Amino acid sequence: MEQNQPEFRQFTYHGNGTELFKIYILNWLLTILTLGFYYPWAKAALLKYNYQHTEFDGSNFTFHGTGNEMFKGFIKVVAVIGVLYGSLLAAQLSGNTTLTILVILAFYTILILLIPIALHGSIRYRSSRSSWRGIHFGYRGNRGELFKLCLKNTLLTIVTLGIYTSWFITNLRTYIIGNIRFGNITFQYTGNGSDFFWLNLKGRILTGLSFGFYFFWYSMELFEYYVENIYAEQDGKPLPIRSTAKGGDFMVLTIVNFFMLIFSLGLAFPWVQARILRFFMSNIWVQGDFDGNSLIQTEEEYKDASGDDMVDILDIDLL
Amino acid sequence: MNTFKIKYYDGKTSAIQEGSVKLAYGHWDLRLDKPDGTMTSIHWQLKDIKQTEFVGNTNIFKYGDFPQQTIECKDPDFVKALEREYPNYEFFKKEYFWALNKGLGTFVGIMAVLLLLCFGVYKYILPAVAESLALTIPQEYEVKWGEMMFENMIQAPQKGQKSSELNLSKNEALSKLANQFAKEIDFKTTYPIKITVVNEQIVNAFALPGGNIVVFDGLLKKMKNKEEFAALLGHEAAHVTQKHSLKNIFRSLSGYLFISLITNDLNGITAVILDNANKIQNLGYSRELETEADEISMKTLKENKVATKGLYNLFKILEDSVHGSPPEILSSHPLTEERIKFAKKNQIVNEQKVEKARMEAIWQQMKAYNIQNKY
Repeated sequence: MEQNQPEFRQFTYHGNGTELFKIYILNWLLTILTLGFYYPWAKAALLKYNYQHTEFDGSNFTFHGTGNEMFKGFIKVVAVIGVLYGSLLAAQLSGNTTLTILVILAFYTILILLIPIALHGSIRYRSSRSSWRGIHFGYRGNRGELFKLCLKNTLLTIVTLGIYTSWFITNLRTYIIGNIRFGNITFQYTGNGSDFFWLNLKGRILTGLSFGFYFFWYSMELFEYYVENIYAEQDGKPLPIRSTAKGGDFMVLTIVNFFMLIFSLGLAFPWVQARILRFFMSNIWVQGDFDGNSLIQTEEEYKDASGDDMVDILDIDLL
Repeated sequence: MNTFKIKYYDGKTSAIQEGSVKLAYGHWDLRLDKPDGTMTSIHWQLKDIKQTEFVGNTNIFKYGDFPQQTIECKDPDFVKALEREYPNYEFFKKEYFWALNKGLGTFVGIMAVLLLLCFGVYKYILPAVAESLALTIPQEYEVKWGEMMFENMIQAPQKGQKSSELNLSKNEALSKLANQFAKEIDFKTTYPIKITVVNEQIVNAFALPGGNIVVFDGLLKKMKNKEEFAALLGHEAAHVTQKHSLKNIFRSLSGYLFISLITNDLNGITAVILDNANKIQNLGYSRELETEADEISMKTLKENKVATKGLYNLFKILEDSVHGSPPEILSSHPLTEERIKFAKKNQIVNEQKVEKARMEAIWQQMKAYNIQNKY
């Protein structure tokens, strides 16, 4: 009877625009009303909704984070950002050019140094607070190692005038994904810098030559490259991940979304958001002999959301 | 009738266990079917049942500490049974969604009220918060910072160089006299008030944060007596002591910052600070701040026993010069009818004359200097 088990398992997003719209509008209004301090709760509400409406193998994901947890992190981040911007503002207003340049340099240096620290905290928090069938995700990376990795790769990227970016991203993914656990499932990133570099180069050239049209196919190639290079393994059994996203579909999605936003003056944003999530989730498949019942809880709890809030404010695209 | 079918996860493995829950007094009884046909029973204390979530038609409950146990129940009667069995228990802590679960009309109504409140916050609360934040900046920082602004604006006169707005040339002799003059007035402040007269034919004066007051020679030449100059210094010193520059900057920036913050656009904030700081530096004060400075100037005149008609005369000079010169010069001191009326109304008629010999002597020296150096 083993053959009856489906070979592929798909992610599905069940959220709908109307529900999201209610959440968004309430989030926006309350955030304005509280001069921004509602932000952590707004974020928690949205994450909860999106996790709960993402299904895999018959069960939904759960986000366990709370607004209260994230508020503690948020306050720390606001303080750091406040000092940074305060200095920038004071320097600029003083009209002293030398001082302004020095402060701008210091400002960006500190931001660059903060990124890996924030990234580490964010991944640890997010993964610990995410679960499926009661099993939590976890991140076992080391902050110091990630910091060194980022510092070295940033320097190399600057020295090579940005060419090294492809290797930087690959190294970062290799480290982060390699340290993610989901119960007794381990992950690895199998991409390599030069493949990724040529993929980007080809994508950019063709996008230019096709007056931008190739962009949609380029984006899906990037998505596919990323997703298919995540190699998951459960007790020695491989669980390859596949993408079925097509450039043409992505183009239709993007164009329709664009017109939805234009004609609704942006109010269709939540529906657009739901369409995007639905598209990407439905195009990720897990192949192989996945046994959803045999995952074992392995990770500890982690409740410090400072990193997550920082990543958010710095607007770093996590994955 | 108090028993419902559930799915159970023990938090140790991802295995789905089918079973049932029975609502009992003070606890729930969970019965789970084992694969070998036997049953196990689990006790959930009511007080440790933590969280309720609704996804579609599924109710989710969690129990205990990390890793939590979870049950999922799809029976629509389950919620009703809970309300019946535990009427005083907060299972449905709708911490967030209370507004979402009401009808459309209620939702729209709540949103409309919130929208109005948001407008109020943006218009009234935000500026007030910004101003009170401005007041938390220590005086020493303000002084240092104002000094830096000042050094960038003023320089000693150099031959063959034209002075621009941000590059004013200082008149040493008049500045020295003006400072002696200012010493005769008690501004009741701990700020180091320092006057600088610059060689500009424009009728203007401004105050920098921390104590520097810049007076344009053009304005000085139009003044006929010491009371007018005292009124001007009183007004500018009030801008300093009341931290008007800081309040202004915080107010102006807060709007931009606020929008950037709630849209999470940090790069936007950087751009706002870098692009707007220069503009903000040259911003005019709001009407309320000018009025406040006028009132304090009037108070300073009275306390120092200087004739209060000085303020009214000063306004007359400003009013007359508006006609002849480009109006934007006075943009930092918008002269309104109300301000002139205020000065007229509050001046003391038939004031008892108090001899201010020293002040008068310094004033005469300043006048003499200007006559000698007439060009």
